[in-house]
Amino acid sequence: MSGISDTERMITLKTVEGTLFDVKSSIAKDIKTVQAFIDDSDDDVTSPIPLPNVFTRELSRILDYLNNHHRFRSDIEKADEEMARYDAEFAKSMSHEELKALILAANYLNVKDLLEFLNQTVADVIQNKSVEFVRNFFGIENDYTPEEEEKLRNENEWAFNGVEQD
Amino acid sequence: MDYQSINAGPEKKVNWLDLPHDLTLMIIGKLATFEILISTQFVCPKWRRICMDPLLWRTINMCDIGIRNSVDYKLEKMCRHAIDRSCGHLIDISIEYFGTDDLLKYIIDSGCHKLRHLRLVQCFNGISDKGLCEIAEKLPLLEELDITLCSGVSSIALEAIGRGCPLLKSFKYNNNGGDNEEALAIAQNMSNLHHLQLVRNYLDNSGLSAILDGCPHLESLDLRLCHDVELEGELRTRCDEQLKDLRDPNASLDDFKFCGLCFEIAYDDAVFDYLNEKRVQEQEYSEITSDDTIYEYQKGEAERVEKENLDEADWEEIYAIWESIKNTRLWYKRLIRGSNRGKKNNAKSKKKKKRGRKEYKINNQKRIYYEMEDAHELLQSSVFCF
Repeated sequence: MSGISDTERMITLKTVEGTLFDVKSSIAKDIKTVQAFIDDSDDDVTSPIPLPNVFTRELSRILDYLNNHHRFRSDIEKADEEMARYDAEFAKSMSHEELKALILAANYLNVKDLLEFLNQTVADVIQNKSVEFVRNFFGIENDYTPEEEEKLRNENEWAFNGVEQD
Repeated sequence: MDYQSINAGPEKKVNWLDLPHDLTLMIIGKLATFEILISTQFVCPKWRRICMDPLLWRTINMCDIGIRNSVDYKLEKMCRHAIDRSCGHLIDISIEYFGTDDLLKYIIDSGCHKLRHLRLVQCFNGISDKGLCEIAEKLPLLEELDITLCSGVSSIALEAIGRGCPLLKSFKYNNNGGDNEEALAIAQNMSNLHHLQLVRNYLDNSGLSAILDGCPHLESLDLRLCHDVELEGELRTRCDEQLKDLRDPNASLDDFKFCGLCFEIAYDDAVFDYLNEKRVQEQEYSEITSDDTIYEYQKGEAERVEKENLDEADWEEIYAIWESIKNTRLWYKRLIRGSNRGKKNNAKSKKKKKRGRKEYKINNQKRIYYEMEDAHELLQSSVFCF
């Protein structure tokens, strides 16, 4: 549990599986859900904070991300460059399923920067792609019958030039 | 929330449909407005509902769509549709190419008074002083305004905006041919400015002093390509003291997208016309073919195919011609700028200098006009004769 020889106050988080994580209070500040819990309790939080919606795998990834970003930010000169490289690696290392689980966890824990970044990652994947690609990626069954789809598209024909003369 | 998928095997396809509404909204919100309208909303009924959510339309970004799409789609109509969907929640809108006074009026008439960010890029003569004056007083929350390459906007509009939008913090006025008059309008009416970008304007030192006096909160100032400003001595010290971030007239233009000279913009225009022409012609072909005999239908088709085959060559040709124009023009441009600078340095009296500058400005406008004309003519004579 310990092993980090830092004078900074530590906060313990507990995942669904019961794994405990020690987190510096400066990092915990970025996890708004945890911070709100700390703010709400009157005394110093000494017992582990339970996170009933977060699994070990996601929490360790999120803490990894936050730790690294804190480290980058302390070194202002190279911050942007290294952060961009780290983010790219981070995005690449995930499967779609992990990505989704991480988005849900980041949303529950209310880690704004990470959530923004993950959403952008998904948006980048589906940017400029066909409807069929998007359906495939998101595992969405096409609920529209061909007639319905045809009708929908016709309703939006106004967007195209040459269909009606202005 | 459903967490079963996490424990499932890696082969299982991930179903994202159970993602909470607001998360899906955030993801779709990262996509460009154009894309949501032509594709994303057709993915499934649930997504279609999300795409109707006014919150999604707080930001409308219709920049960087490309010339080809500008020809094939009715962008202004799409933009109006997007504004309708925002139900007055619009906060941030970016318009490129198709901005008009009517469109601005439509934003106001749709009740979008909460607008904080407005970007009008490459709208050329579509936006006028009159149009901006009419909307200025109805956007009291406006914080950021970008007017780039909209040649119809002058100090008259800037005054109205300054009066109507007291919260305006960031203002960009690039490539519109503004001079000291515009600088004075900014200085006298936009005292709350923190960021100001004036790329390729013709203000001089007096205009710059007025801005420094009139905008005490100014932190960043971008004067790239403002070659009439001479940042020396006292003025330079003042800038360095007052501003955190100053880009002088000779600073690199790497991160500025619209450094294109006027004739290059004219090129965009010409390509737009060319594609438009082509589309109309193709339409005419198909109309003829539906009425006439099979023989003529085949002939028309053959011509069309031939035309399509020519496509790549067309483009190569356009670019080749373009490169040659650009090279000679750039050389010409440097020559003129060089000689003008020489003249300036040799000016004997201040009076003469002042008059010279005015003439320079007029000549400059004339030159830009001729450049555009020439580029059009050259392109038309060499390309449109196919």
